[in-house]
Amino acid sequence: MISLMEFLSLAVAALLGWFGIRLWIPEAGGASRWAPLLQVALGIALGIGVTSCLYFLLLIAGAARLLIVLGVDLLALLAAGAAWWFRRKSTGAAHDSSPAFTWNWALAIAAAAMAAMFVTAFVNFSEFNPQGGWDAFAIWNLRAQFLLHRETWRYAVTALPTGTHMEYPLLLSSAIARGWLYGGAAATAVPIAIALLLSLSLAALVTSTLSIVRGAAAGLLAGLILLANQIVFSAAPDQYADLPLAFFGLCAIAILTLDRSPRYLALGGLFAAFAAWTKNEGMLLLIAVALALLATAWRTAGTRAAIRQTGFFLFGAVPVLCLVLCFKLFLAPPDPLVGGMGAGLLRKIGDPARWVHIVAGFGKGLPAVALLLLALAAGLLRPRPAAQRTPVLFLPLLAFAIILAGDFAVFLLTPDDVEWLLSTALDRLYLQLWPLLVFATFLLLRRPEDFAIASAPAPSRSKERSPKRSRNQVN
Amino acid sequence: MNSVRYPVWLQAGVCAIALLCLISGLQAYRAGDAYGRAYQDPYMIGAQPARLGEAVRLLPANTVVGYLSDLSFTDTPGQAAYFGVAYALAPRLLTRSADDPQWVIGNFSHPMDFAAAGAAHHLAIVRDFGNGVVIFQRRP
Repeated sequence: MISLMEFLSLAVAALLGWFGIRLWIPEAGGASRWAPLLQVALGIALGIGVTSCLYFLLLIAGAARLLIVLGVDLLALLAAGAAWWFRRKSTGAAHDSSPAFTWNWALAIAAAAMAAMFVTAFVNFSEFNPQGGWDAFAIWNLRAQFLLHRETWRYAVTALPTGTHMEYPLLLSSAIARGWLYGGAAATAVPIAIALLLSLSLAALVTSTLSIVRGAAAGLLAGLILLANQIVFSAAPDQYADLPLAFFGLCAIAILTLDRSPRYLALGGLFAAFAAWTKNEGMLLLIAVALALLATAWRTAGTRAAIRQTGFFLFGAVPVLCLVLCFKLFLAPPDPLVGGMGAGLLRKIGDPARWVHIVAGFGKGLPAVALLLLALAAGLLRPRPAAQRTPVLFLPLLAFAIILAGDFAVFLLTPDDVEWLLSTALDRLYLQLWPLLVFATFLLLRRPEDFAIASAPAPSRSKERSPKRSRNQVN
Repeated sequence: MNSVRYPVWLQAGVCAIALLCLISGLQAYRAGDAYGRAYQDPYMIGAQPARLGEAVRLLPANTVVGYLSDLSFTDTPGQAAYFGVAYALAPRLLTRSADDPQWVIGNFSHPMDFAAAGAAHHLAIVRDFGNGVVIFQRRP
């Protein structure tokens, strides 16, 4: 059971993030009734990311005492809250202009049932295994224990032979340590609560963003398919960093999907940098999103606009990216994966058997059931008409393709045994990519509402039986 | 005012996919629940603080502690045993080496000559806590 202070640590972070979102992009989601859910999900990402970075900076400055951390958090919360209070504007009653899909109520019930199953499974598993999966106790929570104390934080980046990945970034471990500092002890409740919060926020983000841009039916269906993947059910209570990474990455992409104004671009960059501060793969994600943004903006608005948009995106990433780079350059031990990639480079690239082996491994590890469900949805709804397929809509898919290619290159060049890597890391790479794939797919599909058949109210039953057969696109 | 209808195949298809998602979710729930019940703390991480509690109190706070074991790091049981101790000792730092740190914790799966095992690394037994837990200190 989470203590009051541990809960407060998360509540302060979430509220601070929510104020930040309301201040920075108050119009996010527009007048949609899904906007509050989107803002909460983005707020949780922003709050966890910012407070985690703040905690780490206070820690290395030797000031990570409870009173100071709590004071800084509360001051930031008060300042953000006051700023929001004075600048708040009534956005009017929430409404969605397009007619709702007939079965939205059933989809909403199904989504609620799925969320309830997910939470129940999470709680049950966490009750049996509060220590989480291997990486939780061997990497993230272990390093969080070092980050809990001013005297021992350097152990979290030691080059001594500890058998764990001390070169990994520290967003998740810092967030856990901050929760423990609030609570006064390294209790298992904090990493469990953070894992649950970020997992649910990921589902909320996918559902709300797609509901806003593609209608509630598409959003709810996407949320259902996202959670219908068994690995999502198992990885969340394992307390791995892959779901948080996917969440921060998708925050960046969702923001860029909603709008391309400077504020959105900068916030997208910040979220992508949080992903880079969560796991090494996050740096690949940041580069992939920047490249996808550059390409899609270039196709849409030309070279100057593409450079300008990517510049705003990178500008938003700079503060946290500096932290990541300083961490990599001055604190963390060398990354054995990167260090070993150069060895036998040409031999690995020129070995066709290695390519075939990795391609087969990638194919074998696919989450078949979840992909089948996504394919069924794609087959049912079909791609949007060519006229609607603007380059901007391809950003998530392009980012997905770049990340997948990057992951493949890592497998190709790794100094580790490929078979071992395929058996231990591939499912988690797919987990990182899964929300992005679901999001990208639904962005490119028609909405159920697009199949609406408009008909005038029938004065008699005979007319009611013969509605107009023409399909009008709603919205 | 116009009313809106949807093709039956679309309505049926969307509902079918939602139902399949729920079935898949239910399967994931049941699989996770069965796994969680069958393998409660499979690496016994949660059991280590109690097992090592007395030994931990003997070690200086915030120090670097070496590790000595009869279990190999290359095998999963050996790695799990190591990380169980590492987690229980934190925020002390547990290293895989028994040759450098002043304090070393022994974590053994079988009864053996612990003194001889320590002597091979120039270590003397400070206390044997039983249950395979031994604290060593480097010989002057």
